[in-house]
Amino acid sequence: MKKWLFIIAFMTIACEDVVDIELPQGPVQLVVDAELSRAVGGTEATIVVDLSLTTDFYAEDITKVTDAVVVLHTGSEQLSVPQTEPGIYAADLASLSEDTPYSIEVTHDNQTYSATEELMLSGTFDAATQGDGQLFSGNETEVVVTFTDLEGLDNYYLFDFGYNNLFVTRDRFYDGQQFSFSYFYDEFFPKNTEVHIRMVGIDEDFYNYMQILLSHSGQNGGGPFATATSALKGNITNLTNPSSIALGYFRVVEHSSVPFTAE
Amino acid sequence: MMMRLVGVLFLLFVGLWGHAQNRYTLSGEVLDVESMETLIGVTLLVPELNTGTVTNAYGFYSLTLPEGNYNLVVQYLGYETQTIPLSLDQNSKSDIRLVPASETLDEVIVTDDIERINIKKPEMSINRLSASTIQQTPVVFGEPDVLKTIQLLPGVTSAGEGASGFNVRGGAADQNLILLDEASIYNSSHLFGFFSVFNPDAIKDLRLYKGGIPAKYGGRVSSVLDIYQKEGNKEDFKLNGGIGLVASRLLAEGPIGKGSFLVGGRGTYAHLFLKATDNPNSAYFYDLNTKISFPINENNKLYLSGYFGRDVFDVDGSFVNTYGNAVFNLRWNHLFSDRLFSNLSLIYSDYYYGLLLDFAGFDWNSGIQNTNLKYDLSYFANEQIKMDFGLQSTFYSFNPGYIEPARTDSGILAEQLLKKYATEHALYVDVSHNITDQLALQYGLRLNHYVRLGQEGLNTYENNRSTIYNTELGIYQKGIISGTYDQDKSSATYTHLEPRLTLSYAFSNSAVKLSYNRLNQYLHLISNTSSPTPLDVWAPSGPHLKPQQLDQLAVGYFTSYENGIDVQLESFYKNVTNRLDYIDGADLVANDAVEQVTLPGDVRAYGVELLVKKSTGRFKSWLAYTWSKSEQQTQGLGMGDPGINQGAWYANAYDKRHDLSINASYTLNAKWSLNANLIYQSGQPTTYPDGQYTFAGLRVPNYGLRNGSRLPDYHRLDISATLKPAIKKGKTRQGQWIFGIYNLYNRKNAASISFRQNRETLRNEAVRFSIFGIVPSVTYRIDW
Repeated sequence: MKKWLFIIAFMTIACEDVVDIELPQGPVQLVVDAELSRAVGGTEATIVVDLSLTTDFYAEDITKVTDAVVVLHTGSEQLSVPQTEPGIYAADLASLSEDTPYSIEVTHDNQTYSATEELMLSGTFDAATQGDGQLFSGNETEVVVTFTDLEGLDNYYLFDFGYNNLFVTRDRFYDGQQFSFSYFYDEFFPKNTEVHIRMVGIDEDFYNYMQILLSHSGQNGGGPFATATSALKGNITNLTNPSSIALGYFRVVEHSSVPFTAE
Repeated sequence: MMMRLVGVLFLLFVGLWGHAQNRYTLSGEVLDVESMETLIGVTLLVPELNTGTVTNAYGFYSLTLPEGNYNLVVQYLGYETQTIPLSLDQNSKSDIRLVPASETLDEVIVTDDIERINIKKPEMSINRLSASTIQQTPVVFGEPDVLKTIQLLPGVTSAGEGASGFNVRGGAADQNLILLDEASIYNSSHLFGFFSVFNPDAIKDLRLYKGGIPAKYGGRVSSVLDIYQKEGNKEDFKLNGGIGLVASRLLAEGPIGKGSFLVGGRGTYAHLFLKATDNPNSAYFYDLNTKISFPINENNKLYLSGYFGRDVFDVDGSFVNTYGNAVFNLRWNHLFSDRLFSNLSLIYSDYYYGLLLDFAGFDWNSGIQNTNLKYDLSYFANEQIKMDFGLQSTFYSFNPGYIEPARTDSGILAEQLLKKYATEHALYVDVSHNITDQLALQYGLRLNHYVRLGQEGLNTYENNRSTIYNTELGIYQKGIISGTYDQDKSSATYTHLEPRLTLSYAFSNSAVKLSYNRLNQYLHLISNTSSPTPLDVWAPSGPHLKPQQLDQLAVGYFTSYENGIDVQLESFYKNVTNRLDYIDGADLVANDAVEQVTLPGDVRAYGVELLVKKSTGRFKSWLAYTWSKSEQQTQGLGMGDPGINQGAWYANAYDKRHDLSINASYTLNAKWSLNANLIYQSGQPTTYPDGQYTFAGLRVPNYGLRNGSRLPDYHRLDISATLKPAIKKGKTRQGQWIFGIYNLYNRKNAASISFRQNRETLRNEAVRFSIFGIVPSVTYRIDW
């Protein structure tokens, strides 16, 4: 939708300006950003849980949660996940199994939050090369990513191109194929600096979640064609008090990375 | 057979057959004296009998009166009123030619009794606009525009500048039945709402039914916008054109044989400017209107109409979006007698949407087609009763998309998404009945029979639920597919009876009116954006999507003053069931099972509308004020789920509490005329964040309930001046300059406010997106 708005901006004198808007103040909520992942083709896995609190929209700093207890459950086994830096809780696992439920349990402020997911397999990230295409401003950098989808599965992918450039896609129309698409970095993307483009195979629910999240983050433009916004719920439930929800998502995924340097 | 049916229906509904003795019929057409164009909605009054009639959509009238001597008063806005002495002692035919009123001299002297007959017509909630009003109303870029002009009427609004379509009495944009020469138009906007698809030069007459909708219309619940194209000048070949800042238009019309033709084209050249600046992007639209009228003899006429329009957005070949309507219509008018008029129409209508994403190698083509056969009859029984009745049949074909690889090296697999088919049949009868001098009724009944045709490949769902609620996570999800329907079980049939009633009670120069109507809508435009976009998908009702049903009640007070001022005050209440709401995160593009991502809800809207209008004299003006509320409620599936917004009523995106428009025009002299609009509207509902959080490295605004806040109020002032230089001696060419300024005081009205992290400073900010600041324009229009 961003693209259309830009086109309209060309032919009219549409303008964007920053305005002061007084905003309502919501309650403070826990935000859980948790990923248990292994590299495509690898065995060892890592869990990283980023805990923070919601805050005023205009606030510059995000409050990290440093006094939580994080535990990962696999069947009857339990793994305590220690805090490795403020608000970040991380641990390594020897391996991941398919068709096995993994649960995280986060205890904070006398409330216990939990989420359970299974491993989602991913296709293979083959290459990232620079293209010479442009979109609107003429200052974009085109990167062409190529990956091979897994046949017969409903696969969804989250690409992290670095510098807050994220993108989701689904294999609905390219199941089992080698597929390429172009992503256009804006003018703030640095040249001659290596980034690792990260591809993560995700499931449908997380794909839906990320689509709304990307739209909420405003990186998809706004305007009359913006998707109607509403509260975004992830897969974290509150075991102590079900009506007091936590934001965020826990996913169990495979990832792969390809280095890319723009010239 | 048809005559017998007519007779039976007639006896059934009216039972006044025996009254037609010693009565004679005067019938014919009302025409513009210069172009011989038929005129729609002309009032013919017989003050002696306190009765009258109006011409129908083809300019035909029929009056059956007791033998006697009368004065026939023929009135039409913009034309000189004619009084024709009439000595009725046999059936006779008479075509009436009206003379356009010269603009400075049309102070109409209205006499009491005529105005009273006019005002007691059993119709309400209807607005008419003439082509000249549309031409004169100042609009952005100086391009006269039908949809922008109707938004100045009470009860009509839109979801903002640059929003497609229009909203009537709190209804959604897809709930408007838009007819161009009786053919359905699926998308009324060009360039995402900046222009409408109707070429104002080709339009003869426009009517907007906001309520009290006659039984001949059906299939959309909110309103009917009925637009007729000109037939073309039957006397002389004429050419007119306009040159504006963003678009030009040219229209040719003239006689062919006994008939006439009209061809009009319009196109923007915004892409030319873009191309000239070495910019590989382009955005443009064009459309073509055609019409041929061909009289076979006195009692038979053929009309052929066509419309074709396309919008094209091309971003360096990597993103190409094409969409538009195509309409073809063949009509046959036949007079069975001077009192029984018939029209048979064969209509084909097509809406196409294509999207090429070259950067992903993805090419998507989708659309909707319908073929429609209609047979409409009007029986002019006597001075008290007129009956409209007929039959309508439509076959729909929906193509959610054909996907193909855009390049040979693309990984996209070609796929035809499941096409869907439906038929809609309707039978209706509508009676206009003058009961006494003061009381008039219009009552009707419409029977709809809709069939979603069975086919293989349609999903069945566990527990027959196409959408489910995940109690644990507290979110709605797609229903679990349990298999596919057998062909014979996948169909769905809906039959509805729709009563319509309008009642009018007149006293002195005023009337009190009441109307009720029920309407059903079998097609849904599913949209998860604040205003519809061309890529939104039309989906037919079926086993899982139920038809929308509306009940509307309106009351009104109408009065006319002798100085030519009309006042209309109306209040309405309406309720719509089965209005579809999207679940959060639903994917639209190429989705062929939209029942999985929707929930049925209810809509209610109510309000008060005031229209004060002065439509004669040098100074013409109208003031329209609407106070209204439009809300939606989606309670969910009854599985202990909360619905949307906790099941509470919440404001629709186009809910505007106060909506005021003032339009004024003043004819200074033969050369100059001035025009102005003032618009004030409450800000539209939106959702503001109540906090922020971080996820995956992004700063994300945290939103609460839908549409809990409002954008700042919207207001602007537009002015325009029209200069008509005197015609030079010996020349027939008439030029016309239109100078306009849109949004004179350059208010930055927010089309939306978005919340995001600034990519440079990395600080969160609220960003106002405003579309039009002050926009001056010059248009040159010429008539040969």
